[in-house]
Amino acid sequence: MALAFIVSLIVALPMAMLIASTPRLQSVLLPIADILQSVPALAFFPVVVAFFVARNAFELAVVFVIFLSMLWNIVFPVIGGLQTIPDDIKSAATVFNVHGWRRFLYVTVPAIFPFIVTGSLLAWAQGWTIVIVAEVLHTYIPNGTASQDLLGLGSLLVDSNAQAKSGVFLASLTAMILLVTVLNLAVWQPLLRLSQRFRFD
Amino acid sequence: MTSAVPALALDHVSKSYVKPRNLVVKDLSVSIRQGEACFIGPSGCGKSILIKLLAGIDKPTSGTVTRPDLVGMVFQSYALLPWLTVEAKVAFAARMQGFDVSMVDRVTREYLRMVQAFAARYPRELSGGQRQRVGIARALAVESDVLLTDEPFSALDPVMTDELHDDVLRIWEQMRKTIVMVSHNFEKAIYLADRVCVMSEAESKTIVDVNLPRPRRQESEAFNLGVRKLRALLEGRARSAAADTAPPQGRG
Repeated sequence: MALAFIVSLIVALPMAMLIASTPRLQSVLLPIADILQSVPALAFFPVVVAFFVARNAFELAVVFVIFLSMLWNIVFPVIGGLQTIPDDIKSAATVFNVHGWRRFLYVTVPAIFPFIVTGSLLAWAQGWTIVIVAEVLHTYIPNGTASQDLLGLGSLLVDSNAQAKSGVFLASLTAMILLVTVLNLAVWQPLLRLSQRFRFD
Repeated sequence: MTSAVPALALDHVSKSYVKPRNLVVKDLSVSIRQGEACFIGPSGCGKSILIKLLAGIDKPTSGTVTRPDLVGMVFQSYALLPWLTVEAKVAFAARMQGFDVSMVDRVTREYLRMVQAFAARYPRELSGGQRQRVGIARALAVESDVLLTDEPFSALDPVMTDELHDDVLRIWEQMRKTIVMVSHNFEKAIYLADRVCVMSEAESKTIVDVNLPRPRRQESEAFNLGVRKLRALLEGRARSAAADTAPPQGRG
């Protein structure tokens, strides 16, 4: 899930910047992105599984589907964030000689930081939902067996439930709740507090 | 002492926009000499566009703008990055000009003196007047001979506005920078500037030289005469513009 998130972030930032770069481009690309984000990530899963399983890359199949589910959660908030950068801030960057990569690093990225955090939070929430289903690969593989599932909280939850192993199911559920809670307290809450410093008045 | 070499010049500059279609500056030629505190305004449209053209933020539709590569600018909305402290902001402005480390340190120390009391604070922890002082310190940190200001004090209370105007005047007297200030305030124009360019909508300008000795006393007759002259010029222009657009009499 972490790998899927990192890839989502790497793809989402330039994609959002491209979409928001000019009004003309935005009028063309935004509706396309809107349609794509409306398609559930799991709808792609049978095709994705067929592609990756044929190459024996089970792990990558799951990473790809989680990536698809996370991507739009980051893209749209970042597009919104880019549009909130005041014109005077852009003008000041021009006057003070902040161009190109320096503008991206010192002005654009900090300015959209609160929106990256919000989008990431949503992406992880979506990721948790997808990971439960995505790890149970065998249900998407013709004549698949449970041995083809990836070991993780998602597959443990689903398989233990299917096999009526209530002890394993409860332990997996508790572990997932704990993990989400710890992540929220240790990562997301501090990041949300920090992001307040980056907001324009 | 002013130099005859223009620090900034607009030569037959026009600026229009397609969406919405609008001609905001029409065939304007102004030359602003080095070391001269110059004031452009007051009036309606076109003033801020003019400053943007001089700052290199916008390009003219036709005509040429002569300006140094580097200018400092103070914005009406402060335009301060909320995630940088005051000290980091001044240092950032210096660093972006490609100064070496010792120069960045020197420039930062020098201009931080203006805002030393709140150097470690973030913009949201500052009052409007303090923010604009930071804006001025940041603009000076680029070490340009030209300082542009776009109605920088219009959102501030009158006491703070007076204080900051005096700051600007002190900067001009000490550093002899070319200061171009956009304003709609006749009194401040006469108080600060040696030349006032009176503009009105998409028309060419009238230059008024202000030859009053400094410090200028607002209660003096000469001062008030200057203010009345600016007002008359502007009102005369407004009247002539209204006459141009009035429907012909005796028709319809």
